[in-house]
Amino acid sequence: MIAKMRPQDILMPVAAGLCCKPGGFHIDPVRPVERALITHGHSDHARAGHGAVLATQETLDIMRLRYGENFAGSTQAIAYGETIRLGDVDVTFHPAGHVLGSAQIAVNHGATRIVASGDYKDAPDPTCEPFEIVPCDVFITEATFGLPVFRHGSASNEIAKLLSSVALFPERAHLVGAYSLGKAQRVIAEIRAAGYDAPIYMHGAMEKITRYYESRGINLGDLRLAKGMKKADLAGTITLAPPTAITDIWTRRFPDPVAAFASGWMRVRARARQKGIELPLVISDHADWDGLCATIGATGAGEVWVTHGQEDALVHWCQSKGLKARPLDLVGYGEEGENDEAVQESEAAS
Amino acid sequence: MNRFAHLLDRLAYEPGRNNKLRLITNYFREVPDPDRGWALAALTGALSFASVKPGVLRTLGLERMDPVLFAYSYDYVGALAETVSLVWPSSPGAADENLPLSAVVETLQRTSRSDAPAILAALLDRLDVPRRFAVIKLVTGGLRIGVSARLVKQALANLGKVEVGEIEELWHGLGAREKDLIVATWPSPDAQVDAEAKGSTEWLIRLVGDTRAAKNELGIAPGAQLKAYVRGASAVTSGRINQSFTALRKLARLDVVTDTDAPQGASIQIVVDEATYVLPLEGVIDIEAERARLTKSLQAAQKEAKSLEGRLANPAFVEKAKPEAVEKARADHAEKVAESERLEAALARLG
Repeated sequence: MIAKMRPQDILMPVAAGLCCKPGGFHIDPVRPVERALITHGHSDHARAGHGAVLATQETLDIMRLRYGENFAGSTQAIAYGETIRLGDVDVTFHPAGHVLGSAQIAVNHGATRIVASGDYKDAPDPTCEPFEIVPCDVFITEATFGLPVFRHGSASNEIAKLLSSVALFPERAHLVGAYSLGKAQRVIAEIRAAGYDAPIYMHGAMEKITRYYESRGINLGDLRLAKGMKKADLAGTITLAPPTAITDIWTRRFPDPVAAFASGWMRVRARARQKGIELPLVISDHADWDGLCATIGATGAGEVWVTHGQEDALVHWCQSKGLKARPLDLVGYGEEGENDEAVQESEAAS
Repeated sequence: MNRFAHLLDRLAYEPGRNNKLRLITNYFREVPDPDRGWALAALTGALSFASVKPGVLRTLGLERMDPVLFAYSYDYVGALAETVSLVWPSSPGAADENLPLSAVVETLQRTSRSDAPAILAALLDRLDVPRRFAVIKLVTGGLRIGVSARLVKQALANLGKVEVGEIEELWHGLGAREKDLIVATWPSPDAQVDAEAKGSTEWLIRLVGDTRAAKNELGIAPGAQLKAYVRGASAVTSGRINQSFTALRKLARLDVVTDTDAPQGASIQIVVDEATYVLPLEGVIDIEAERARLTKSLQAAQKEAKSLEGRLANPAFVEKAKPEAVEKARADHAEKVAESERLEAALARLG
């Protein structure tokens, strides 16, 4: 019989990330550790150099694509729903609906269950397993869009905006900024779902990941590289590119480009203007405010730990609903993939 | 009003003038009456409602949500109208997808200052984020989307394939109507044309154009209001004059007199169709000085025309000079001949 531990003794924030002492591992550590459990492949959560890595097969594959064969001392794949004993705790991975292979990690110690959700969204996404509610005592939630101003709406409406713009400006090229892992593939899949079957072009930086998605059975239609295309032939086309590329010198190869950007940040006008975006598309891989509130309620957790993002507002909301809540001071997690960009640059160069 | 809200959104981010034009023209082409009329009014600043002050808007927001969350949100977004449009609580299915812009405008127009907050709140309950933003911008006054009234008129001109000048002439030139023009059915560029309406409009444009040209030739200020005595007008023309009395006053700056003969003396005579319009010049310009100026210009033009004619009659020039030079001489000649004819006509008008 194990004595009941306080949740903060089971999982605690340390400099390297979220540490589970009774299990002997860290979740999404930002510094090299002996044993790491990784929720998903975005580079602020999945880093190279750990001793042993436990993650879904897709997350391991994505890390290998990004960091090379020797990204960790050893790896172990875990399926959704599978339970593994580590030290004094049992861990189970559940779909997080964020990107391909993304998982929430449930840590069970005795009768206490803590769920570290990583990044998640409860909205439909044709390119990954849907989010699953995991009942728990303590729910660790992200708060990227933890303000009531963030309401994402349906992705298909935003795609309709993009396609009507393509129809209205057939002599211009539409460049859609989207993070290389997850967002780009989801946007392509949504464009296909809207019935657009012309070739879609992409920036070289997202080719590897996109081809990997296709190899996992996700049909994205006719995809081509924008590189080497004649300028005039790109009129009336759609090209996906990393967010940094759509307003830089790379765009000169396109005829009168329309800069679009698919992101939850596009809900706020000032953010769109700052980035010089003409066609903001509110499509996010994170839960919006309503999604965060609904999910917290549905887990039945009596205690909520809030990390990366707008912690204060979400903590306030939890407390107003009678839930115990506190911000979890973890450092090193960026806004939606912003830390990804360094990786994307190096991929583009290679 | 989905389309209107999306148009505002798109215009707010689009920097290019031609692209803005395309967006507006396309909106006018695809959106039915009377919504596009109201959109036209809104875009050109012609709509005004019992305005809602920022304080009222803020109160409406605060009544509906936790004040701490409202404060965090306002702090993050930085603009009140946008904050309220984003944080306004919406229950799924409450949004009325098909609420037309006309219904929104008509509701707001019937609203007095005292019941504006309640009516605005009820309206916002039925809308989604982009439409809430559009409505709030309408009632707080000023869309501020970087679109001038002139640009909107240009978009209208592009839609109807006419010159923007014609739109601007008609903009202020229409007389009193039973209903606001904004809610009328718009013409279709491909529709069956009413021959009389078209004839009448063309007649008006010719008369206005000729009057302006004649004033210009004689150095009369475009804004000068002149009398015009009509001679020999048919029944059709008389009818048109009666109908267009106000338009002629505003566009051609003519007060048309049909029942009296023109007084003796110098005048401008303009012939459109069978009728002659006599515009007395007594007191308008110094007739002798004008006649002298015209005569001098006429002589100069005739001299140049003659010299060019001589050059063109010379086979050595026509055959040996560069083809461009010959071509230019021909064009110049034609222009000088035309100018001479114009000046002769102007002199003849002075009597």
